[in-house]
Amino acid sequence: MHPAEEFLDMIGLSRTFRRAAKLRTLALASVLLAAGCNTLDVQNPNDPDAGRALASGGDVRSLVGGAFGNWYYSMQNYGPSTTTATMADHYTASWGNWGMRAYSNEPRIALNNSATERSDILQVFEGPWFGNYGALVSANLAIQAINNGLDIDETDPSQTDMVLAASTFLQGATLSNIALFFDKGYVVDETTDPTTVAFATRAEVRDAALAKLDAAIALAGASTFQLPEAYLNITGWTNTQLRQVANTVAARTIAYFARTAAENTAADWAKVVQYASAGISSGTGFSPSITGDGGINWSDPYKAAMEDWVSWSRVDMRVVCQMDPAQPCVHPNNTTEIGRPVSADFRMTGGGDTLLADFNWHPAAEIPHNPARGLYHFSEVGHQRYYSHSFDAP
Amino acid sequence: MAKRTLFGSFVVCCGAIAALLAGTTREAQAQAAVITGRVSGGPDQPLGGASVIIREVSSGRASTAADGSYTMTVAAEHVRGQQVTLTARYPGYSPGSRTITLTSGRQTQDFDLRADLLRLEEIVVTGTAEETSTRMLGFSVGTVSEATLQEVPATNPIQALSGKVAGAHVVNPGGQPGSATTLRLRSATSLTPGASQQPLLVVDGIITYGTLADINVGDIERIEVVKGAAASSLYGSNAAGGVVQVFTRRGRNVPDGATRVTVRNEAGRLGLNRRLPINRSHYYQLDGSGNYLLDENGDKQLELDHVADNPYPASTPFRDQQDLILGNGLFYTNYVGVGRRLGQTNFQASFENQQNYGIIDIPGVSWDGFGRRNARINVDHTISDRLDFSIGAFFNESHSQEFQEGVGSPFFSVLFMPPDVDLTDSNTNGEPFRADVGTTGAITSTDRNPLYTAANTDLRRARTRVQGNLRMQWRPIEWLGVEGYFGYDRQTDDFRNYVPKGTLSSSAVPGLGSLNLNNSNRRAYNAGVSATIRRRWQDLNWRVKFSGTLEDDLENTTTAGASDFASVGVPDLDNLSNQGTKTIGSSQIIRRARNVFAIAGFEYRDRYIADVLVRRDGSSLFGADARYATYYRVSGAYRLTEDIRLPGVQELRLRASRGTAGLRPPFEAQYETFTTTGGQIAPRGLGNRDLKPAHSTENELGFNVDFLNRFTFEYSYSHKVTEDQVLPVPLSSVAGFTSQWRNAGTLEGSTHELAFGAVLADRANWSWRVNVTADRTRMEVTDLTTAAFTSGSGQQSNDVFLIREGVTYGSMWGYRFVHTVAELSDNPANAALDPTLYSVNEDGYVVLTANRGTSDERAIKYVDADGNSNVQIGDANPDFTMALSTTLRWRNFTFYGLLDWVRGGDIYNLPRQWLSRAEFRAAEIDQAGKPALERKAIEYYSAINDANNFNEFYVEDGGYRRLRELAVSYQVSPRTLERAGLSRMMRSLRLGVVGRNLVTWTNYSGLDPETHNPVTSSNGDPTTFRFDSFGYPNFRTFSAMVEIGF
Repeated sequence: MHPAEEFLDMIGLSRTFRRAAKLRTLALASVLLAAGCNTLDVQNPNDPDAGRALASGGDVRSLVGGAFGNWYYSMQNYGPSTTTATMADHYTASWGNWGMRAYSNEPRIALNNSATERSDILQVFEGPWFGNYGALVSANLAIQAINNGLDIDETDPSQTDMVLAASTFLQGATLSNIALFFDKGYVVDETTDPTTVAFATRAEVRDAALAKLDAAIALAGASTFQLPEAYLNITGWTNTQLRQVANTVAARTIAYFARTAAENTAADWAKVVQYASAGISSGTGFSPSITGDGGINWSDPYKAAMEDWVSWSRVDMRVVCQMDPAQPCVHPNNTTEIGRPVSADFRMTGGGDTLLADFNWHPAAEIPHNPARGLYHFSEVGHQRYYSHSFDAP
Repeated sequence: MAKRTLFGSFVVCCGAIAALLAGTTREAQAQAAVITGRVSGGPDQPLGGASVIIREVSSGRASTAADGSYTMTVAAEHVRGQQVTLTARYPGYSPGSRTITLTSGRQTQDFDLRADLLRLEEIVVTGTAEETSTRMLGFSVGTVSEATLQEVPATNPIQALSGKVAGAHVVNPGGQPGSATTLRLRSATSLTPGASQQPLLVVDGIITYGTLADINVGDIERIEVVKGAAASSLYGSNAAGGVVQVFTRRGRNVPDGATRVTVRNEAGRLGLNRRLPINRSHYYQLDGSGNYLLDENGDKQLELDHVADNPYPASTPFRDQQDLILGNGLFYTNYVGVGRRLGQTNFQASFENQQNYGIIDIPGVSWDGFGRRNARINVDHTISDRLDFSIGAFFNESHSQEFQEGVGSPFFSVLFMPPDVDLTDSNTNGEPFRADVGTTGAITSTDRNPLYTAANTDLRRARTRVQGNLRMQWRPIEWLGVEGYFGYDRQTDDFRNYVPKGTLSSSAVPGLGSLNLNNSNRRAYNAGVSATIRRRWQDLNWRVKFSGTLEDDLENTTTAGASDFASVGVPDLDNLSNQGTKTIGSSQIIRRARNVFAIAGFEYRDRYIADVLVRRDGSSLFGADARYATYYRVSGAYRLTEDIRLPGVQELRLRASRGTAGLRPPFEAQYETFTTTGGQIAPRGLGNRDLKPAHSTENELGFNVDFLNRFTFEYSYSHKVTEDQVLPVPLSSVAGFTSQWRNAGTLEGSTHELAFGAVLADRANWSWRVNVTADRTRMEVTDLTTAAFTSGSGQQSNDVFLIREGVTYGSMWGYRFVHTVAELSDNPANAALDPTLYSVNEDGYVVLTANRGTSDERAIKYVDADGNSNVQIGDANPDFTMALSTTLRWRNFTFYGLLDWVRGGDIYNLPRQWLSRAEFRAAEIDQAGKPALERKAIEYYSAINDANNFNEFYVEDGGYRRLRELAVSYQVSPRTLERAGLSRMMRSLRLGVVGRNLVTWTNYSGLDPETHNPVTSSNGDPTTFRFDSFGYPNFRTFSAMVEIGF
């Protein structure tokens, strides 16, 4: 027996190889053919593209659900919420995260408008921008799909009305955030050619927001529907409550728009009253606060962060001294205790039960802040109303 | 399905080759030429296992027996009275060649080979069409031989390159036992955020994407390194960073008929050379007895000057808490290798067991460390004169108990612990290590006791690795060779992070417990066929090789997590309370490639050398409309001393090469993606059907000169331009999608590198060899068509390395302080400022003179005339790197040493910055012993800390010199073995002591100038981004070794 045959026999492949020997020239080619079996066109198994993500009416409904999440987190995420809270001297924190320390510095510093700014601070400014526009574009896509004849749910025609109203609401709500947070923005909707948009003033963005909110109010009043629980993780909210929310957002848009006394005076307060009167406190009140699910999909980073008075943040003394004028508006030092604020306000006393109070008192010795970062960060008062609010499962 | 198709095709192919052989070799016995002889390496030094070949004849192959003798029988069909070249080779010796006339009958040809101490005659295959002498290359190929590797066996193959290959930047980013070493060859090629600059790794022909930390160096025969596109074009779209190819030991160098068994045991001790210096003083008032002065409430009183210059009271003295975590550990390695050669078959099998306990040494806490077991077998079989068959298999399994690294880890919190508390105190529930002990010191901390964290966090990783390779070589006719190969690599990685229920927080509150699992497995095939034509026409040798290759790579990852356990002590995902939460995730990554190439090489009169290569790659990672990319290489060399005689110069070779290679995009980059979080959909990445691989072009010029028969010098200059960088580009907000991966930048780099070797003595009783490698590399981002971004350090959303057009790659950016009074006026906001009120303090910073020596003293941030404060504050690139190694042999003693020198290059010392947080533990805050007027208050340092915003104060010179390897060994002579009555039991005996990282000289104040950020996917490449951040420090080892040959 030839050594080669002997070897093949030894490893038990002699029959296979003898048969293959008749196809010598094809054998090499088969390796190359194997290449053809494994196409280079590989589909991404991890994330869908538009074709798979938006293949049905149900998908478009989920697209609007994602837009609600984008809209919510665009403002409620750590950046910008913790930063703006400390900038406003509402809460105080000396930690550097999300620019809390930098942008609550006294005196205030200018915004570092650079793409190379640390990314947690970029989140403060890019989060609201991309978050709101991400939600707005999704809402536009949903409306386009409906305008092109898509049925959201063939067994429940009201769902098409629901998606149309919810999407229109999101158009207004996102433009509202842009108008309140930025100096200028793009006004886009389902009819806009995105390649030709130009910046609009914040007043123009505000007006566009109000127009969309008015449209949403009308749509939510024109039909009856129920929104999916996945929309902001709120169980059983309906067209009525969407209408209330739209009215409140509209009132907020006008009321919060002013940045100067002149703008404040010029605000259409009557319109604010009109919207607020139909808002979430009207009729059967509705609290659209989301229910946390342990931080998996839904949480309230703002409350979670700023309610941690033990090691994270406190109520700024600017607020404390308004509650109790005997308290200084800036803490004198980090070792001397000022003492518990004295106020008859239930929010401070809890009616004698400190657990029921919104605010609690902690002596100065527990204050974790670094005095070298500024005594204006010190406070002996924490806010506890929403402690454990958002990361606890319902 | 794909697996079966590919493997099946390979088997069929090999079968066809075998079957072809069956019909072509039967008639080849009569009228043969028989060549016999002996190969020796000097008097009385037979070389068993040497190979003797006639390249022109397929049956012209033989190997020597233990006595150096060989017999080569050339089949009659090949015997035509022609002139052929008979060559004898043995590792570590210059090959011997002579021209003989091949005639029927017997003839004797003996060879006496000379030791090739300078390794001038090495044969390489990486980047070349076939086995080629390094003298015949138009580009530089670095090699590390088995002899060098075994002097001080490194922990992994990449580490083994350190100091041995010019242009190889080897960095151990951390000392965690079992962790990978990182490598960059010459300048960086990738700007992709988080990308490593790692070259393509190949083990015995298997393209591998896993860590080489699984491969034991004891198995390695040699390593070849090609350093950029000028040489690596053969590997196409995945080789812009170069290629490292590892060849494991085979039995072919075992003397025919012999069995060689090698047993090597090494055991030693690990330790750390230093501790991070920290503040040994506090800033509280003391009474006359040296105790804290307390107020009426019993509280300590801050000293009025706020200066930390007081010694801790004798009752609660200062203690360096690092000593409770960092200590000494043990490690040992057992290796057994068995090689045998019998006729046409040889094999090499090995087993290695390694255990490394690292340097974590916590009283009362056992630490399992890292354990690895490897097994390998390589078999070569010559089926016939025309057909060779090789197979190799490797299995590895390892288990490690890892120690948490980075911010928040015990390496972090141990530095914040009050230096006047006992970390070994127990909790009120009796558990060891009081969790909230940090709240009890003079200067308290909100961090948890690191001993408690270490004792109650269980991080475990289990890895397995299986590799296999098949290779069949067929020589149907004298000038044609056909080869098929198949490589397989599978790895699994199971990681578990368990925190038991009831684990206390930093404020001693019992936690709910958590379990996180991360399991991944990746398998990759690569296969190929090639045909090589080799001809000679007059004085011109030429060869052409055509090849087609396939790659198929599948990676699966699953993650699962649970928190809030129902029962104590049950680390199970289902053991949840009704408030518990679970998280799951998975991903699958598929990568495929089909490639073809043709390469032609020409050698005219052995002095004019040229090489041309064209390769076309198709990859599933490229955009759908850009599926294929083409690469090329043109290289040439001129052996000038073959034409012109230069006194004292044995060889002068000039060479030049230009080549291209690529970098494949990340898997997700080409796709349009929507997120589906919680069942809701949102647009994320805009796909790019035109996405191309990054395209690197390298020009390499250099020369090699061997002179005075004892010196060799190699110089290379490399210039790499890597265009079409694959980067995520932010999109206009109205696009809906946040970003799109595009080809959007260019990175250029240049490297001067040299290698020098000298044989200072070469006598019977002693020899002395010295090698020097050095390089200087510079890199710059020359084009960026997206917004500038930062990269590299991955710290709390903060990165210090700026990627911007015109900026040095590896430069650090942040703010600096005003150094001269004149600089104050650069800032437009200071227009009304009176410069006479300012002066320069002891740190070189301008401060308000009136505040000097007070708690209001502050350095001033520099702002230029445009209001910009973000400036370059450092450059991580060293001025140059150099390594000096020497091997001195005297009688039976061998001394080997390797000294690494990294001159310059900055490191950002984040631990120092963190330590100026509220606890003020940084060493510079200690003002004891300073003149009174120079003392700085804690507020001064806190202002510089600036909530960890990057600034120049924490940029340090990262240069160092390190005695990286040291070994002294004694080879017991055969005569001594005989006298001791051991010669029947063993063939050889070598005893030695080995040291690694024994001494480091540096001005860097951190634990180790080589230890950087813990390596994560977001941190980027530690060979460029030198950023110190509480990683597991590198440590020294000192061990004893015994090696026995049977």
